[in-house]
This record gives sequence, C-alpha cells and structure tokens, in this order.
Amino acid sequence: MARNLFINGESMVYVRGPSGDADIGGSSLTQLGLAGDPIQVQLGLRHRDVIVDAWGPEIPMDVQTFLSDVIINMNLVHFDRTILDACLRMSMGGVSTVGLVGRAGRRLGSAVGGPGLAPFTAGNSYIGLIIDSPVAGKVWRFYSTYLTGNPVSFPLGVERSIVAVQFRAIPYTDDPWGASLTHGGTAGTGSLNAKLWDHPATATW
Amino acid sequence: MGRNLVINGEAMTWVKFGKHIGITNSVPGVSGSQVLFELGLASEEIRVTPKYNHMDLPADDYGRETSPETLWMGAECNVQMTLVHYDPYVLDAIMNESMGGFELGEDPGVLAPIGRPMGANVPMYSSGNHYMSLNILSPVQDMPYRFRTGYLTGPPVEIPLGTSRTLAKLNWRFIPYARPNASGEVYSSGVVLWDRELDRDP
Repeated sequence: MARNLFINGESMVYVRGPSGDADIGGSSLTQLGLAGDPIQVQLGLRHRDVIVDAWGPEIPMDVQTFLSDVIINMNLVHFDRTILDACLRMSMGGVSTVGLVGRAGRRLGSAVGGPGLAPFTAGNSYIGLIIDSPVAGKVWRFYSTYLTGNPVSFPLGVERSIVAVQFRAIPYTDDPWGASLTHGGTAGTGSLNAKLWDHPATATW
Repeated sequence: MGRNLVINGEAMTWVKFGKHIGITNSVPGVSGSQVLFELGLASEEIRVTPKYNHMDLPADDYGRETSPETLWMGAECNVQMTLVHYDPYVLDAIMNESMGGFELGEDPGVLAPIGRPMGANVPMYSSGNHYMSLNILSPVQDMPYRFRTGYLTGPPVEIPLGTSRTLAKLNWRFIPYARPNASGEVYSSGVVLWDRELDRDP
C-alpha cells in the first residue's frame, strides 16, 4: 500500500460477548452503533529503561518492552442501548442485570477461583470489539476489552444523547505461561503472541 | 557465553516430591500418576540467595582479627517467591511436606511427630523423604535452576485471604542433604545443592 491520505470512512462498532449471553453472546457480531465523531484509538506501549552505570543515570543503553494495552474512546450517537447495557454488564463482572454489581474481586477472564477461560466462552466477561472500515479497508479487531475509566458518560435530556464510551483492550490469555507444560523441557512463551488487536480483511471473528 | 544483560524471562516453577505424594498419596485435584508437579508462576522476580559459610583458621602470629587461612564450611540456599498463578493443592502439599510430611489420610495442617528427620535417611524422591526439589525454568535465558533438597522455612509462607488475588509468599530453604554410605560415613564432598538439570518424570 502506497502513501495516501488516510480516511477510515464510516465506522460501525461491533461487539461480541461470552457464549450464552442473551444480548451479545452469539457466535457472530452484534452492532453497538455509530459514533458522532472520529473514534480515538490510543496505543499504550510500555517500556522500561535498562540503565548501566557506564552510560550514566539518565539515558538507557537498551530498552525493554513491557507489552501494551489500548484505550478506545468513542462518542456514540446512533446506538443500541440494549447492547451498550450488555457491555456495561460484562464490564461489571458479567452480571445478569445492568445496574447490579458483580462480586468484588471477580476476574473478567473467569470466575473467582476458576481457571482462565478462552475468549467468548461462558464465564469470560471480556468483550470482543470490532471497528469496521468499509472505505479504508483497515478493520480494527480487539480481542479482550472492557469499559473502563469513567466508562460511560450518559447525558439525559431533550437533546440527542451522545454517549461517551471508553474501552480498554488488554492482551488477555487463559494461560500466562504461554504453553502447556512439557515435562523435562523448557516450554513456555509467556506473553509471546498473545492477541491485543489485528486487522482482519473483513469485520468478522 | 560472553557478558551480556541477563534476563531470565518467564519462570515457571515445578516441584518434585517423595513418591508417597505422587504415587500412593496423590495431591487432591492433581493427577496421581506423576511425580513432577507444576507449582506456578510468580508475580515478580524469584529471588535466589545462596548462603556461604566460612570459618577463620587463626594463628597467633596473625593476631586476633586476621586469619592466614579460611575453611570452607558448606552452604545452603534461600529462595523467595511470590506466587500469583499457582496450584493451591500443590502448595498445600508443599506446606505439609515442610511440616514433616503428612500421614496417609490426614487433612492438610496436621503436624507430623516432632523431631522427625525430614529426609528419613532414604534417598531423595523415595517414599518417606519429605524434602522437595524445586525447578525454576528459564526458556529465555536458558539457565534454569534445580534445587535438590528443600522445604519451606520460617516464616514459610504468607497467604492473604480476601477478595483480591491471593499472592502467596514462599520462603524456601535448600540444604545439601546426604545419607550415610555403606560404612556409615556422611561425606559432604560432591553433594549437589543446586544444578541446572531439570527434573524429569519417572
């Protein structure tokens, strides 16, 4: 692809939740809605300096990467409130009714005390998020997100409600060691190739 | 291998018990057909602290403060880790083995007879030997550790119980365990405190 003006074009936002959820638990995508202005995708790359005394205390002689998260901000103007409620439910611990809180300490990736669950399986509350891109053809697909920060700002009044929504994507995996145990070997890739986002050809999972 | 930055990378921990754990008295919730168990992952660096012992050999000609020779008096090793993603049943077994081992059918937390020798004068990994070996993997640096004979020591473990994730702090002590030979002698020479060979399943 040569250089050019980059215009994403209209950006439909899709979500997918855990299997079995009545609102977003299907195997296909569910439309969350359209934003009133550009959706902001902010990559949060983390690094840490490697300091050696020979280089003094300020400038590193090498830098280590310590993974990344992504913050996605959008102002929804034409959206499905039921689906937004479902995203709120998932982000509050996978509760059954919006407005109720989950158990304190519940993991988003699984139940308290349970093993980590693969994305989209029942009990895993992370939300798959897709920002479609029919014009530019560069779909953003985030695998494990939840509503964070001040997750939703919901103006209520006679004007149309433009809801400010903030998602956080992390590279969740159900196995932090990165591989099944191989006795006598040194298997284990840690975070290597854990999925944070990708760009599929079309807006599908 | 030349000098370089040393980065161990992700460090999985395994433990190996005496056969009374792995074969005849399996850890609850864990397959009983194997002797090597996955303990888990730490939330931060695992700290390995060897403790060397030396003793001065004084001579009057050198006065009271300085020694013309020093005797090597053996070593032990302390390993500290804060586990975040671990098998609580394996941790239970480690805690009980460090209390002198538990009897068949006993619940965790039950004391063994006071004064019981941890090794019971039998080889490592034999039934009745309550020492454990600890394997720390190193797939990035490729410099794993295996500590051969150890147990949790004081304060052995802290287990916070609450709604936050339970970060279990473990404090291991490893010693150069040895048994008398056929003549009844115990030799320290050649006893392995740690090496870089990982345990294998039987």
